[in-house]
Amino acid sequence: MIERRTVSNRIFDAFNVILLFLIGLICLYPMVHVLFGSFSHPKELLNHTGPLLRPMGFITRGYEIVFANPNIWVSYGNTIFYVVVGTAARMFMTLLGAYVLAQDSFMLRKPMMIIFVFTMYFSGGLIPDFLLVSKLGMLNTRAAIIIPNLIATWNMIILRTAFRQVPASLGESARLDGAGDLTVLFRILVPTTKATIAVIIMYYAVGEWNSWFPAAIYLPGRRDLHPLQLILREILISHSASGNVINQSLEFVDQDAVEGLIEDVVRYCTICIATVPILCVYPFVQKHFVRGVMMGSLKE
Amino acid sequence: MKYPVEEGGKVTMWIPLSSVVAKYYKSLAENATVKQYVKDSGIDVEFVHPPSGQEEENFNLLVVSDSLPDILVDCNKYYAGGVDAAVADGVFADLTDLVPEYAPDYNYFLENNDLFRKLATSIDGKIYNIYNYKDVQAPYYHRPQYRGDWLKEWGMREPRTFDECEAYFQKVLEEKSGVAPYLLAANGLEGHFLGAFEIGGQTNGGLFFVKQGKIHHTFNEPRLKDYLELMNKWYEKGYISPDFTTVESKEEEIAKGRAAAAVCNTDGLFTLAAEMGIEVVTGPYPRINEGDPFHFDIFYFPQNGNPNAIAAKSENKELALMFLNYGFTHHGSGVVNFGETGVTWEMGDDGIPKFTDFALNNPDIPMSDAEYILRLHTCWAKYRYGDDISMIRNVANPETWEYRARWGVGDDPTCDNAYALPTLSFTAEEAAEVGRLTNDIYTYAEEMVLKFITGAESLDKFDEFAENIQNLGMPRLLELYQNAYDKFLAK
Amino acid sequence: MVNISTTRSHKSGFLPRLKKNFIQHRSLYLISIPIVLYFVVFKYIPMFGVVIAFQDYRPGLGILGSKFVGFKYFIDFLTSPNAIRTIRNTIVLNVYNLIFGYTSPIIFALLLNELRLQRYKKVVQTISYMPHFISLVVVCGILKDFTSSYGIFNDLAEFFGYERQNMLSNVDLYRALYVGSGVWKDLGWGSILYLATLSSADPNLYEAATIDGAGRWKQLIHITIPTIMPIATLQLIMKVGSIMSIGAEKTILLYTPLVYEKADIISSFVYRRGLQEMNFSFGAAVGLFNSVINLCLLVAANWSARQMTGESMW
Repeated sequence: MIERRTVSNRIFDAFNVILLFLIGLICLYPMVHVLFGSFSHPKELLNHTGPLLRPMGFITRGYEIVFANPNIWVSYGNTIFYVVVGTAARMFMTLLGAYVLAQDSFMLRKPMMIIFVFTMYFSGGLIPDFLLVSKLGMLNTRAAIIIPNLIATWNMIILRTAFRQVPASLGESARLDGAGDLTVLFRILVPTTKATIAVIIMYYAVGEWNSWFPAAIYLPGRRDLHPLQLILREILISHSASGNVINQSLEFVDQDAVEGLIEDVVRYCTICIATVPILCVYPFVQKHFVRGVMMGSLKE
Repeated sequence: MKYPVEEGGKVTMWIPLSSVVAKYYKSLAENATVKQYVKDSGIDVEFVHPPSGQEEENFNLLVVSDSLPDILVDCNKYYAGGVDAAVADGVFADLTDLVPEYAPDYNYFLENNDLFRKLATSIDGKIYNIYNYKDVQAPYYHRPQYRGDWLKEWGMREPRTFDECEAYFQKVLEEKSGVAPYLLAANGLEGHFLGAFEIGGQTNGGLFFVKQGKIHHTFNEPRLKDYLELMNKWYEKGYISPDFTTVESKEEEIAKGRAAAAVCNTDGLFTLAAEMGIEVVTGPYPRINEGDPFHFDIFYFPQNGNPNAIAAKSENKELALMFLNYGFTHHGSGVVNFGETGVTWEMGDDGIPKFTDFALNNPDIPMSDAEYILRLHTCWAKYRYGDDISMIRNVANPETWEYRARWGVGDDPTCDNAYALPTLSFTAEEAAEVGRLTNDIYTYAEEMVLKFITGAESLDKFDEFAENIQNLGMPRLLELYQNAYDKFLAK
Repeated sequence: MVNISTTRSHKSGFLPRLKKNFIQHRSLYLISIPIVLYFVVFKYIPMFGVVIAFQDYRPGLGILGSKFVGFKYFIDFLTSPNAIRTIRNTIVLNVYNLIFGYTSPIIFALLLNELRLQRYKKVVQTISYMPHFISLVVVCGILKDFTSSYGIFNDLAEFFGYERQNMLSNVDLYRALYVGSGVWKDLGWGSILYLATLSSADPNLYEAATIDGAGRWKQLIHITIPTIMPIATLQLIMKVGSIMSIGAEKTILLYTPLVYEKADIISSFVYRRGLQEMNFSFGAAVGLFNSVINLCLLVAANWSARQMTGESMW
């Protein structure tokens, strides 16, 4: 791209670089805080005031404790299963749904859209959802985590909007060559909206990675199927003062319980272990944010 | 009843898994103590553990889908309308007719301790729950606590009056920069201080109290103004930490030397203080004049909470009761309180169990976890031994226990629990009304109390406050409690 | 609705046209079957559960056995002395969130888009989306620490001549802290979709614009912004349509009675009620009340968006 390097342009660029640097710094802090906390010596950590700018001492005892927890490893495997299978299934359904909703020639497009959007606002709530899953025989099975949440309506709408931004001429010319709907969808629309699809895959994957509620509800008797986040949540809300606000079972956990100082560090370690892998997803998504994808397919 | 029972079997049990146990086991069944309990009672048990934080949903969904296990530990509070409604709706079983035959050891306590019977049965005397039974009164584990090393430094004793508190706070302010003299309770209502004004606040934080058979509530008392004036004065003078409403752990604030006094957990602060190398002391409930009578000490409950119910649709009701009953027998209560026989404890010559060295000095399990791993600190209903002999940390570190017991019964002769209120039960409709009124009144009052203390609202408006409390339904709330209390007395 | 009445006015009836459309695009109908099936089974069948808002629902009795009480719990909520305040606070916080939480990811994405240093851009992007992954309990813990009277925010405030205070207990600062921390947590995460959309802009357009002598500002106005317009409109419609709802968790972690005046929202109020007394029906009634208002707002937002920009959800 040819750019005129005017003075105002340069001032703006410099300003932009600095501003984004500051934003990055602020955004980096919570992760750094947790990371440093996880290696800190519990006593020094307690004594420390203000932002954590380095680990207070250096120990790996917290990680040893977390890795000795038998629930962590099992749940790790479960989470990976839910993320991989769940994301694939959801993406497939979302592609189909978005495709139909993007077709002007499809007469039921509007009524269907209204029917779908309506469900974003009204739901029967926890109890009927649970009864349904239990009547379908999915209770305490992995299917209960994946099937009842097969489509996020909002993601489908985003994808539909992206599909509609693809010039109609692309699809039409393919159809003239005898391509069917699925061919148009997978050969033309998917490659041209790769960036948006990558984002939605990430939405689903991250959503699944962070999700704990369906497992808490639909897998009541199977701790061996619980995902990592549910275990993490249990560790986070146990004993910590802010956790107790959420944890109403406080009375059961005897109030005179005294926990070791190390627990604060263990909490940070657990967060790191549960967060770092999913953070690595973004660069793969980012790779697809390249200009000119649409052009490439046009020229094909 | 003879254990192990001849015709055994298996019961299922819904029980939250303590976060400590979850670090070691996937299920309570892996605990050695549980294994022995099962072997000795001859009744096997299978656990259903709700995810922690989701107990309420989990329990109700099991109700809805008709898949409740046999024994339900500590679920009364999760059912809309409470335990009476749960029995009426066919969720919990009425155990009145079954207990004498299948839980004779539990029944013994019901028959021989009148207060226990009153506290452990419904308004019309029915048995819906099996509760913990504990016949020794443990000193309450929350107390006013101060920096012992500083008191010594200044030649002061632990404060017994508000004036002495002020003198100590003033000294902290002058001598220790960056330290907040006092961390007030987050809602501004320090239970341990309210009693000096005779305006309630059981030391465990409840605001209802009973005076000559009549129910009172802190928010309804004119002398609340005196208390608020004192707190407001302290706040203005800088005695009260500006962060008192948002502090996460008062014990940690004191341990790291950022605050000099608070009413908080004795065991927690004592352990922390030792680790951080500072000295702390407990004090009595401060009074206006030294030795003033104080009637709000913690109520002695032989019924030690932890209600266990049995599902109405369970086909194992008898077996489930026999399982629970074992925890009230001599040997069974030993196991459930002290752990694996011969490993963590042995029966002493005086018939009282004693921990072994394995329990007291275990190199593999930190003391804070040992309570849950080497024994069963929290579990289903049981006969509960005193904390001084049944908790590993109290036996291993007797000084922790002494710290907690100081200023308890006997050390403060003018202190009693005459005005303290037992737990009352309500019908489903009453419970709904109590819920609505309490929420409306507390939302308003807690905001105003804090505003009075911090000076955001002038205390000249106290009369207006008192009037608004009336309009929000305080008389009706008191009436509901009075009825429940009268029924309790009439039992 | 509009849709049906206009189709009726056409020459041929709705059904014959549908039939013709079906024959012409059979495969589209085929593809939509699993989608519709999913929505019917998992979304519409459980919807009968809304009746518990009109009942005195007791799990042990079930929906069929519980007593109907009509609008009791709606009245209960709306006549509560706290109803007006919680509704107002919910709306105000959401409006702030609309002003700051909605626009900040867009501006951030545009700034990133203007960055020429590609590697730097990627690093900033990756870092900025991290706070989204840190548990709310931890984020609120950090915030409490920073805003306490000895926290870093007060160090800064003191430097600029303000007095130290507990900022979260200051009723005038609460909303700023609540909204600000939300912006901080989701700035990078929210910008991802816009960045993805921007990458679909036609590079030829930028080239042509440069040749025509259009500066960066003009390119931004005429090419970049129109590219993200459809998604931005959609997001706006959604935000307007959720103005009555905020989850309780963050509020519960941050507020104290001292700031109820501006902090107490519908969901935290319902939560406190739940602590006093377990009651499914009350929560369901309040939820239904919110949903109805939200849906009305959504419909209105969708209509205005279509009038103004031509973009809409349906």
